[in-house]
Amino acid sequence: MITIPTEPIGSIPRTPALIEALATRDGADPALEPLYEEAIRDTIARFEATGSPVVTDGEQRKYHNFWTYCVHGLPNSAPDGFPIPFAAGHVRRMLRLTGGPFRYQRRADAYLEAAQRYAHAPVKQAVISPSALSLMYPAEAIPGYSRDQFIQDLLREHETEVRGCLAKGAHKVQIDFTEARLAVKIDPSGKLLHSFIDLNNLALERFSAAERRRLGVHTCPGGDRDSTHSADVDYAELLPALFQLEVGNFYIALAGEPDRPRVLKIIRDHMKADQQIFVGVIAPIDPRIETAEEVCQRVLEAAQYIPVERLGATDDCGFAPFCDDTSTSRDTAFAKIGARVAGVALAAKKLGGG
Amino acid sequence: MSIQDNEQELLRSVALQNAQSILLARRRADEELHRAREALQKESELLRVTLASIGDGVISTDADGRVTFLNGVAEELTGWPQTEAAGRPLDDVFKIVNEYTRDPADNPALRALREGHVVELVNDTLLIARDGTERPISDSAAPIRDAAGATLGAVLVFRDVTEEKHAFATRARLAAIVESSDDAIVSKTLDGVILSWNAGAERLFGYTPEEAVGKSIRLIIPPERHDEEQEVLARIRRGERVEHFDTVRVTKSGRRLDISLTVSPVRDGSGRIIGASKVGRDVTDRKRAEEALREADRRKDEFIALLAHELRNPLAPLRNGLQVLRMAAGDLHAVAQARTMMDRQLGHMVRLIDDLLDISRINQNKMELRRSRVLLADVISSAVETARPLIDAAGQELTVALPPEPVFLDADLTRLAQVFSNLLTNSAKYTERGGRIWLSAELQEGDVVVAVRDTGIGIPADALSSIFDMFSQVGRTIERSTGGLGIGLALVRGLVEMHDGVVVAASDGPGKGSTFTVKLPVLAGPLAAAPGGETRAAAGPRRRYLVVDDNRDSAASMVMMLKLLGNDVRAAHDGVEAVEVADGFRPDVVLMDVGMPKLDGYQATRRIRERPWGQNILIIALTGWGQTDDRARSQEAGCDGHLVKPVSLPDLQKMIAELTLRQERSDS
Repeated sequence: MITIPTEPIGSIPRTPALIEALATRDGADPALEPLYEEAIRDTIARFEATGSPVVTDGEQRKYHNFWTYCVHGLPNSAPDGFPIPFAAGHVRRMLRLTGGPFRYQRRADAYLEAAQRYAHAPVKQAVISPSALSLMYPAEAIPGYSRDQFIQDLLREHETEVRGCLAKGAHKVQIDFTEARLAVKIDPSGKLLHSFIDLNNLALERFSAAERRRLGVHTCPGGDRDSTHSADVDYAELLPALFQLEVGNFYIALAGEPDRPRVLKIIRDHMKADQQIFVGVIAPIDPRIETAEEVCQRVLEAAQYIPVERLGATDDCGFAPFCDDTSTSRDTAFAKIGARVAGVALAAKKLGGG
Repeated sequence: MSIQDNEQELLRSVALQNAQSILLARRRADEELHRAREALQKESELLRVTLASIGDGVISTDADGRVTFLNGVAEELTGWPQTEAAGRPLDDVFKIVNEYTRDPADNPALRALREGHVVELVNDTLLIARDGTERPISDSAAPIRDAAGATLGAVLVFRDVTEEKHAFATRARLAAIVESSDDAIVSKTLDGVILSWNAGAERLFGYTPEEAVGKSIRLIIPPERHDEEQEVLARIRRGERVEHFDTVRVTKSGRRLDISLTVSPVRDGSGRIIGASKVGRDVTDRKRAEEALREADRRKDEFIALLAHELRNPLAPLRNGLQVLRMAAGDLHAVAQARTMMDRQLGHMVRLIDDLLDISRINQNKMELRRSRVLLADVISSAVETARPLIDAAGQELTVALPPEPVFLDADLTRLAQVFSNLLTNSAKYTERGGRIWLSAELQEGDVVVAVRDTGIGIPADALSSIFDMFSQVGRTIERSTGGLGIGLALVRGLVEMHDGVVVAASDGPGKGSTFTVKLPVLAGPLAAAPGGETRAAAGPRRRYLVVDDNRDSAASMVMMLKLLGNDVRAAHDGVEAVEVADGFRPDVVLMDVGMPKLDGYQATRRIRERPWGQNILIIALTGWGQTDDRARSQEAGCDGHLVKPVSLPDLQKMIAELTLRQERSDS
């Protein structure tokens, strides 16, 4: 009997009531508290109903997005940061730092703590990577607040957030590194990617080996309104560098890849001995609900390249990284998750000889 | 270029500028890492050296209890080298059992892993090394945790406590010796501050350890001896030992004790003198005993001088008497006076010597009483008869008052009469001429109390308690003037106590007379047959006597006396001659001296007994030795009787009569 671990990436479409309320109110409005609580409770309940061994709060309280949740409302910032253009034509913008110092406005361990009040299964928590936030510092130097100082502050803030999650018992802390693939797209020379990886490693190195076994990195071509920002970037240009990250777990979008065996070969050739690989077996941007058998086949396929004991399954991406994304319904998301859980179990059975 | 392209170019620019800062941060991180690694390496090296150099064994394990490290001491004690031990379960390498039950002991490191806390020292544990060697150890263990508190393993620290155990046992023995010692054993600083105080010290000086420790040793030193303590401490500082130093100390109650002290320097591990240990012994009793011995010795010397004097006193009149006999042989009156005087002086000498022998027998518990049922009146009568001449000679008046009813005692009549004659004689000696003496007796609750009271010189109050002691100084001057050895009262007490009685002396002081009171238990019941009277000298049947004595005068006088009684008498002057004479003479009775040249009396007796004719004759030992052992030896040699010189004729005749009667009964 073998067990193949399976985990979600994180976000689940917000409840309709919450989306409606957020359309007219600031996300920090205390009046929304009951809606947040109900959304979290319902999300976890539905997560657990799928049989998912690990759950999340569906990022119900990340009322902007997975990227800027921690700096949203930072007074020394402006909304006119760099754009992230998606294939569907829409653009998401980052915040721009207008002065020092750089400080998180909220940390994800607070979300974890809220989720744990409702959860019976282990809760996983996603945080944004330092490299994503590093793009907040503008091209021109901020007077009195150097870029070097900003990097130091960024690393410290990130470390504090991750430690908070670990200390509160997060099953895993997943660092969202979706800009990795975007970095390759922006700078095909790879310098930007290596710079991002180096920055993230500077953060990861602050943790012990045991702690890093509870940390993971998620990479995907982005997913917003059933669209990606860097699906055209070849994994061959990303994964070899990605595996240089000093982290124990990798959550790699794979279901949406046109040539999965090729990607799996790249993974096989570059992953390190102590790394656990969670391959994406569900494509959130695909409105079709995968069948369990389909998921099973994808797992079995991955198992041909990745040792079973180091293989895990996940979704390619969150189902709604941006809170106002209504392209996928909650029912669909949980149906897909249910398929993943069932498919992985089926694959484990088959791989176990049962 | 579109706006989007511009922004992408700007983004690239930002990213690349960031890359510079990241690179700088990387360098800083690498430098910090390098420094941290160097520090860690130093710490590791320091730890390695520390672990290697400490005397304790150290073993570390991983979280599963498998050995990860042993230091050198641990390798030595367990017999497992690091290379072989690493990765093995700790129980394989560190085998321990309870020292007394031999049951496997709970491994402290595994317990620390299980329970997640420090396991303190565990004792009574034996470590069994790889080669089976067993050592007592003490051990403790603690979990090893990372910064986040996760248990990474355990560290076990242990050490061989064989020496400690031996040292502890030795210390315990020494402590037990110190505590159980009757001597006071005290330690103090060089400033005289008491550091320890054993039970002996508490018993001796009365202070508990709580009261004494921390105080100055002057606590028990009399003020006038404080300088002496400074001198002792000065000698200790010089490393000298003070042995058997006799001094005085004072107890908590203020009593002063004679103490013998031995004081020794106490040194620390480097040999530096840091204090002193004192062993103090109470020698108060010893001092008193020594003083008493000295006093007794002094009295003995005085007594011997007195004895020599008193024994010489009768010799002068005796010699004079002999001279008178020679010179006035025809003057019957002068001869009679001389004989009376000589008889008196001789009697006095005999009494002196008898008293000496008696007191010696009493002191050696060799006095034998011939107890029978006797009348108090007979005892008093005999005593008065003995003392009467002295009383009459001093012109004193004696009044005797006895109970009207007969009073019976279980007593040796002769010895008890001796008691009262001594008391009466004592009163006569110490009472002025014409003074009065009373002897009264009355019954008191089963006892008879006999008091001898006089109007004499009395006894000082401080001498009353010692008046019955041997060689007492009291009245020595008068004793000399009145004659005697001053042992009469000691003899009185000895004889009274042998009769289960008590004697006490009382006096209102010098010049106010004395009273000696004897209390004796009375026998209940009707009058029994009165004891027989003394045998008087009588002619008796004619017999053939052989007198054997190397003292020719003694032999000649005895021959003369026996011949005057009509017997056939021969003499011999050594043992060989005795056997030869007896062979031809075939005596009925042999009076055999014991200490003689050539052949002593015992040997001569044996040889005579070997002759057919010698088996039924009477042989009586006649000697100056009268102890029980002497009597037993003569009896063993074959003598029928044993008489002590000088022998009175009536005593001799009485013994011969008794022995003859016994012999006749035996023959019939």
